[in-house]
Amino acid sequence: MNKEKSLFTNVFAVAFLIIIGFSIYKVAVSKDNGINLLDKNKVENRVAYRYVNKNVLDENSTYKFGGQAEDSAANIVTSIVADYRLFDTTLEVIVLFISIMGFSMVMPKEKELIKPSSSIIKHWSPILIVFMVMTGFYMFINGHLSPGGGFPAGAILSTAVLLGFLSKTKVPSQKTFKYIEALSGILIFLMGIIAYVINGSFFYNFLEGGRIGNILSGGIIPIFYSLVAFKVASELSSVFYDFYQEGEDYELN
Amino acid sequence: MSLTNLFLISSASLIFVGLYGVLTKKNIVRILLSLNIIETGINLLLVAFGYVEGGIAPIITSSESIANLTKMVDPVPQALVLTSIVIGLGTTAFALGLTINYYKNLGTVSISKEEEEKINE
Repeated sequence: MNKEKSLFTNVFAVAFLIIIGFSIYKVAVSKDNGINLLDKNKVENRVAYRYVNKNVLDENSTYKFGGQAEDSAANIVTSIVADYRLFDTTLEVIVLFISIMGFSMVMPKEKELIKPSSSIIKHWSPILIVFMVMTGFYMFINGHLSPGGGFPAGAILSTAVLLGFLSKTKVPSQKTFKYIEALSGILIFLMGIIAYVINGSFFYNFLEGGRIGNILSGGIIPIFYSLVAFKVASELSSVFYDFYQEGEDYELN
Repeated sequence: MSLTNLFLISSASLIFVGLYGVLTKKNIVRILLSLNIIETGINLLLVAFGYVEGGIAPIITSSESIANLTKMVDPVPQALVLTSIVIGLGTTAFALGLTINYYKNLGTVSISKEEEEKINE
């Protein structure tokens, strides 16, 4: 009986998937009005084209590398994430914060003993942590010039914390991370309010951008990304703390 | 077959593999893994929509990249995928926390009916 049931479930699942796949295929190849999934977009409609050709003063101007731009982040993806859609990204940070908060509320608060790590981890982790922290800092400082940014930098920094945690190197306590998180969260919104006071629009890029390719060309993008990196790093570190709480008794089955 | 179509087909197959897992598996951890596979497929789909044949990364690194502007891929889907990855991480952590709670309370990670009856007895 049980096997028949599971066979029926499998057959039903496959049939369901076939129906959904067929409808997606029909939508993809349909020649009706509206957006066709398999159409090739014109280059003029792409954001990259309009981004480089935009100018407030002259419609037909084109920027040169190293020239002055309205908004001079060389990495266009970063420019979208941390400038055009900065409000969106801020709300994304809030969503991450809420999910991590819910996680730490849901997690059972039982303490488990962490097994002592091997001598390889113990001796190599301080060296590795230095390089990881360096990479993390490089990523969020250079987020507007090269691939990277606040979120991957935060992930790298929190991995460094996890390594220090596993090898029992001295790492900041969970309370410190909570303070860092709260402080960076407050500073992000303070930045938006300052921009509102200066220009009249929330999260306006009020710092002057320089030449494309310079380290100081992003305006408020590096500041925003460093705050995001610290916030994400402390949130993920507190996840590790919740998973591995050190205690006296070892009670797992 | 063009590269865009290859991306579309592979993302669709990832989504269907994940859907199959969600519909048939009884283990909560496996269901969460399947949900993550669906998420990967959707991210690949979003990035594939912005792809140009022989495209380059949307980063202005030199004057040549401005000359090859028409070859740049669309950066907006990539920015959206960044958002989606971060939120996927948060929800996965939350779901795993719920799973640990479920295991501590009921002693199982299965959602099948037989297991539930066993617990109630």
